[in-house]
Amino acid sequence: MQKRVVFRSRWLPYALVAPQIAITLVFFFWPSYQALESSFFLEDAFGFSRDWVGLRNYEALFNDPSYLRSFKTTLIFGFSVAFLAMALSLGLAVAANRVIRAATTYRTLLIWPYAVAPALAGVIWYFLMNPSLGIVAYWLGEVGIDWNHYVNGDQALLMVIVAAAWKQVSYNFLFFLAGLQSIPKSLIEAAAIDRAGPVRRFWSITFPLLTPTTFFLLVVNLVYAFFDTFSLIHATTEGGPADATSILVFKVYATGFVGQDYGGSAAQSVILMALVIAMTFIQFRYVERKVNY
Amino acid sequence: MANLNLSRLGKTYPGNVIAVSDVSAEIEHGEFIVLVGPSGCGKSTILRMIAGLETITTGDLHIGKRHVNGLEPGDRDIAMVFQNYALYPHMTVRKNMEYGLRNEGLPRAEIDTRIAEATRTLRLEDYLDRKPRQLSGGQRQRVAMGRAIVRDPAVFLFDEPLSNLDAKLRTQLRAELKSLHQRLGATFIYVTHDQVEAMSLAHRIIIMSQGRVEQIGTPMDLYHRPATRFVADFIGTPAMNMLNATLSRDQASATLADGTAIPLPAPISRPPGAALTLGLRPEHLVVGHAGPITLALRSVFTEHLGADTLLHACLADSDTPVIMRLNAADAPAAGHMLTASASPDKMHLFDAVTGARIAT
Repeated sequence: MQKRVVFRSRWLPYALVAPQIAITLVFFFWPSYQALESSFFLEDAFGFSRDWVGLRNYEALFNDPSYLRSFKTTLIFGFSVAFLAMALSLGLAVAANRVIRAATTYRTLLIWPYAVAPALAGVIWYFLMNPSLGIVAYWLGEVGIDWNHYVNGDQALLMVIVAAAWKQVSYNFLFFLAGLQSIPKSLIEAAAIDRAGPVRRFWSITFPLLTPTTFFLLVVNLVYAFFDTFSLIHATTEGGPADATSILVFKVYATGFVGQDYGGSAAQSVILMALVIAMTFIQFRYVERKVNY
Repeated sequence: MANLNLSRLGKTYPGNVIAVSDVSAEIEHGEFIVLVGPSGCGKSTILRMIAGLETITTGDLHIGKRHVNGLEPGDRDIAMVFQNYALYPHMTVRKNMEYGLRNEGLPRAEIDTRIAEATRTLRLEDYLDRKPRQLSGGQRQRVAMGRAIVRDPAVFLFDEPLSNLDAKLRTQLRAELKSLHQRLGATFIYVTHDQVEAMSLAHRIIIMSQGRVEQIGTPMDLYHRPATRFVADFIGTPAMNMLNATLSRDQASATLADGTAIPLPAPISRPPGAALTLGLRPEHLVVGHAGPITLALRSVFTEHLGADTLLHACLADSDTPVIMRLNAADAPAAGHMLTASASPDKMHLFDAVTGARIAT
């Protein structure tokens, strides 16, 4: 049941939504339109002239092996970040849900990493894993792993995944904890009486009931990994070595501002935009509905 | 055989909050026991201690021959029906009922037989493939019972299972529960705050107040010989009328505040002037001067319930309320003065200080 508000004057409701609409138009629709427009042009580096090229920018992109590789890297990066961040936070949330004493302190401490900017999170891990200075690289060396993300592309990718996931853990933790706390205790008790051990209780009762939360977080984490990790990559690997960590958002920047190919960069932005729209659509359409009870 | 032995059970929560103390009871195999009391009296805590959902702080609990204090809920041979039903919302009715059996590792054929039998008993055949949210409150309640029945436990525990249902359904399910108990012959332990439920279901009632047992007995014991003023007040609707009085010099009668002398059923050995509480049930008061106990009353209002009428009155010279249960016809109008009579052997006597029953 929705409560309908009835305004007495006709212009008041419009006046109330006007600022929001103005901001959306100026800061979202206008730039989006500009990106869409420039994706159809070939522009010279100084912006003096541009030529209509139709869909050729897009054509070039999908014929560019490095762009397709970036797509693959982005998918690996995105799903690894989402999986790692969610698995860790679910573990922590389950543990925190059992804590009775000092629960608030524990929770507050776990939320801190979320206050760290992605770039900073990247830099922290960059130092920790620095092959000559980093303590983690040193430990890895002790157990026989030769760590050098300057040279080894897989290791570089792994490093940015860990850094990006670490930052997201606290956010996921909050939602998982809230999700766990909304599961009636009596269900778990009933399962205990039904002779299910703690592990079985978790996988057969708790985890299925968390599905709405899990699905919501999956979308949010993917969006985060796909789009919000630019600064992290930029501050650490700069997409390298040899494009091993060059995810799509970083590639937009590299193509446009480093390669000065504005048309190609705009075309990439449009593709990313389409991706965001698709994911937002999935989220709005299914997150509300994908409640399985 | 699954008799239960509760020996001086106690539960103390962190911060020294005592929820239950010193509860002892011997429950026979096949008995229907109802734990009743106002909210916060510790009745649910006892049930949860029996189930293994709360640790037992002090005392010992035996189910059958086994000492079960340290056993997991799943190892106690019990099943429980929760107030909110606690059905697994993501599973169908069938899966809900199967869950415990599969955890026990029963063979498929055995599981199917048991479910078929339970669904027939509870008339749930048509709902096996539905999710709990597609069921009404009463159906959910039956599924919860079904989930307990298929386990074939020695002891069934019920935690206020009917309190989320409307009055009519409650009466109907109460009857079903009773016949279910007769058919299964298992031990039932049932928690409720509703004394009518307790009276209609129980072989024996354990009535509790503030974490302690007030009385253990059959419904008729509790009604006819309440051990304390609390029990007398709790059992029976409308509640027993309580009159403050002092023992007269002759120890064979008591005097109300307005000076009315009330003959006692027998002399009692207390010092004259001792503070007493006299209890008279509304159904034991009649209009008229027949005596031997007579009370001068002023009627306040009446409640017509159909079969009978409740007359709300008060003692003529004070505001002490007195309720009488009368035949529908002969109820005096509001503001009228009347005289009510009762027989002394229907009267209950309590020590006004301790609340304990005084034997007569």
